[in-house]
Amino acid sequence: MLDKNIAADVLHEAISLGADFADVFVERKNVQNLSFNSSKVKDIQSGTDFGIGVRLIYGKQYLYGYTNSAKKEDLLELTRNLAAQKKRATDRGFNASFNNANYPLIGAFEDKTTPLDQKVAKLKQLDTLVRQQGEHIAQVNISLVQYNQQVEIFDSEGLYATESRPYCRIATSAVAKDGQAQTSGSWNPGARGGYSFIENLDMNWIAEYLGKKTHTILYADPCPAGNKPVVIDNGFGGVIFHEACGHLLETTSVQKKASVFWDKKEEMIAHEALSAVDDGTIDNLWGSLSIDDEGMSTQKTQLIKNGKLENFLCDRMGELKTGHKRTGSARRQSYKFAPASRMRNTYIEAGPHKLEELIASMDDGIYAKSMGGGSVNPGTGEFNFAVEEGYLVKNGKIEKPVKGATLIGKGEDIMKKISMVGDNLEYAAGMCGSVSGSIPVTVGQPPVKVEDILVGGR
Amino acid sequence: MNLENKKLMQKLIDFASKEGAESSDVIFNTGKSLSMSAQEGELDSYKVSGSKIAGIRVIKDSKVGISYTEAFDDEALKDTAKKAVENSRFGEVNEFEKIEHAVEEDLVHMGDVEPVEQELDPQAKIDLCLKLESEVRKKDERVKGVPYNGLSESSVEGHYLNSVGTFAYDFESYVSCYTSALLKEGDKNSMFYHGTVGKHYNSLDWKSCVEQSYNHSLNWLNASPLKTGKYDVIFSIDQFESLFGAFRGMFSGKRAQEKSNPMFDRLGERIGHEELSIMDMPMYTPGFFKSPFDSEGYVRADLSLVKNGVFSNLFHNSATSKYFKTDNTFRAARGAKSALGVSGTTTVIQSGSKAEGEVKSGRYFEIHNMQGLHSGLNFMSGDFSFGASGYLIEDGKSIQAVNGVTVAGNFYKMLQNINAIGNEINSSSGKSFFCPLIRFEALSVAGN
Repeated sequence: MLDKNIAADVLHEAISLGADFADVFVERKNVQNLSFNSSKVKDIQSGTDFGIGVRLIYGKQYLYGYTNSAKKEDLLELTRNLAAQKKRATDRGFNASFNNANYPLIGAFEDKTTPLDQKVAKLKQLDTLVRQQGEHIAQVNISLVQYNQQVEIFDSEGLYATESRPYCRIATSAVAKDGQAQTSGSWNPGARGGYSFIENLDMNWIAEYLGKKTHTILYADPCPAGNKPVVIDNGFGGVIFHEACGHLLETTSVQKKASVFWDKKEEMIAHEALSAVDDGTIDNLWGSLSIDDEGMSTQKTQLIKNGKLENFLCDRMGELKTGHKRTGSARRQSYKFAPASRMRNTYIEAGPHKLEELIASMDDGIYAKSMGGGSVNPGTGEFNFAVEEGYLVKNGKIEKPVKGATLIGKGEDIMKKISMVGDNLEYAAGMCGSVSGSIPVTVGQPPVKVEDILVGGR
Repeated sequence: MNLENKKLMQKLIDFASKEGAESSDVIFNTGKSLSMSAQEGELDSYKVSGSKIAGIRVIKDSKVGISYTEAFDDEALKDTAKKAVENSRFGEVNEFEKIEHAVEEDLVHMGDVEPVEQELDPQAKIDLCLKLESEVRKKDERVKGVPYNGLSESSVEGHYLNSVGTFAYDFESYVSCYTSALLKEGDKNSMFYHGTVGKHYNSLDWKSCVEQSYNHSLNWLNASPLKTGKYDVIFSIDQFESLFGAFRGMFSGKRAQEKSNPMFDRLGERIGHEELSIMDMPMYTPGFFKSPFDSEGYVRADLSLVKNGVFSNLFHNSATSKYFKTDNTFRAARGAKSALGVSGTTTVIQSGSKAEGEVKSGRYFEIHNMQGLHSGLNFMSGDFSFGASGYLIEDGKSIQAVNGVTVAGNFYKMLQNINAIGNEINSSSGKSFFCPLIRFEALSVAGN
């Protein structure tokens, strides 16, 4: 995408202006989105994002700029503008030749060319199946998102790395209605790969899932509020770990001492039943990468083992500021963002228990079958996340569905209250927003039991 | 205004025409920005950017296709036009969406004549950024960090051109800043951050960011949950703007067309308190951004959305108004990457009859921070449940700093369950939402 001689000239300019390190991130993203509403094609959109980001590091400070232009003079001007505040005399420059980075290629669903009419037919099939789930289904919205992000990374240490990253996701939501009562439910699986991911999905299962889920929520009573034990089911339930702990283990927060865990490495920060991992190397998963956005091979990183904090997620700036080793976790939404340490596929490892055992252990609690998203305040560790589909549990048995529940707490407290971990780990795709933009991530967990958490409801 | 940009847009339209498009329009946006942040007395990050993006919408055989590009050589433009026309082949016949609005004179809106970047020299900007951190740290030795702070300036140009010659140009330039205060005492900690915007550096109230961040964080250091129960609630204007924004889709004609607007059936009915009147005002004088024309090149006027509690209008563009056989309310919205939609401009909730002292009488929960706005709500049902922090107020005085609670309710029902509306209109910190004090009755709060 970018002429290597131009990249070398930009890096030379940066180093000769006194930068300790510099890198160039080149991105071309080809996008095709197809959306479906009221049993008809709503929009078909395609396009190309293209841009180049230049980063200069002086000591522990970074300067970042971007442009849509791949012209040498524009990139040199950008570099000079960035360095204007910090430039210092040096006789250094970039005189090396680029070495192609070697890294294992992480597997992906086949990215084959598929005619648009076949995709339209697939969405039409899913629309029909969802509408067949009952009279309560009033509307179905489906969108198919496909893009291929091609990246090139050049740095002043001579690294040259490139990756083509295919992504595919289908977002399906159903609106349910009965008189004045209305609600909605969604299912949004995604993967690293192309359209063959969609071909492998069980459309009947998705339709039945949405039909049951929206019916349950439509007729559920409001969730009673108060402190209770909660069993959070597998898959997207992993958003609890993502919000309550994962963000606090990114050096983006740790380097500012804005994380309650910044000085807790090698200490017990969670219940001994809990072990957790962030792994960018799993084939086909939505948050997997062969290289991170600094060109480093991605890794499997053990975050917590039997309750003890073992590692943080670290990028180059994080390493400079904290001394922790880089973990191939530098990520960004696009060339418009400098990289930052971010999660990839983050999950709680499987434990010994069956879901039924977890539910049976509650006298008066909530079984959160399906979770919505959440957020965290890294400085205080205060998090919240929404329960989409929940059930009241009395004396170890599911009593009735409830809606409108939110779980809130503090990360450092809640990690110590995950006391039972189930045996069937599942993953789910999501988008995570933070300092370097919105990126694809996977959350995951087996069912877990939280001994005591504040459930907000009515 | 750069005429080269208009030529580039015309070129894209011409390429689409050669590919068989019967009509088309182009959105072309350019932007420049500078942003920086500070950490422990030094500049932590410094970012500069320049960006351009063009998006085309074409109509062929009564079908719509869209495409966009960030590359602008002739090959890229031809490919973009071709993709848009190809995409239209797979669309459904859309008898409502047309590109036919012709205006002879160019529409031009200059939010400011001079870009904000020329107002201060680079070192003065860095000094201001450093103050966003140092002034918070100076406040109190319990300030253990200012993890989030930043200063940024932006200049953005928006262009619209269609195949029947309508051209519109909009320029805005502004500066913004934010800071935070992380306080720790023993095993207790608290954090709050606050931001603001200004048209010029000399009108940027950065000191309010410092004061608000520190004061709330200090107050919440010793906060505790409320007892679970029903409480009257007054949201700070910034929090109410966020909550209102999450349900603003109730005014969308596009959502109504897509059968995803839960309130559409209530149009013309009483949906709120009798003093509740909500206006959408594109040229509202105190508003930060003025928006004189929409994304189809139509000139906008004020629009009444709710009048004395009655749901009176929706945001419509030319297509949704044709679909519903009603008047266009000129709220077309389209980004370079997106299809034709609708959106509002500056929201102004009209003042009510109660003096602020009356609105604040007795006991209520005043909310200054909510978490989970993107996930803790169901737009179709109106149900919400968020983490919240604020103050328990008794006759206008804070008697308890509150955190660790959730507030839950139903937004659509909440509009009816209003106790009082104040008689003074206040501005959100983003100056895009204007609202009197509104006291909502008996929302559910979960705490102790």
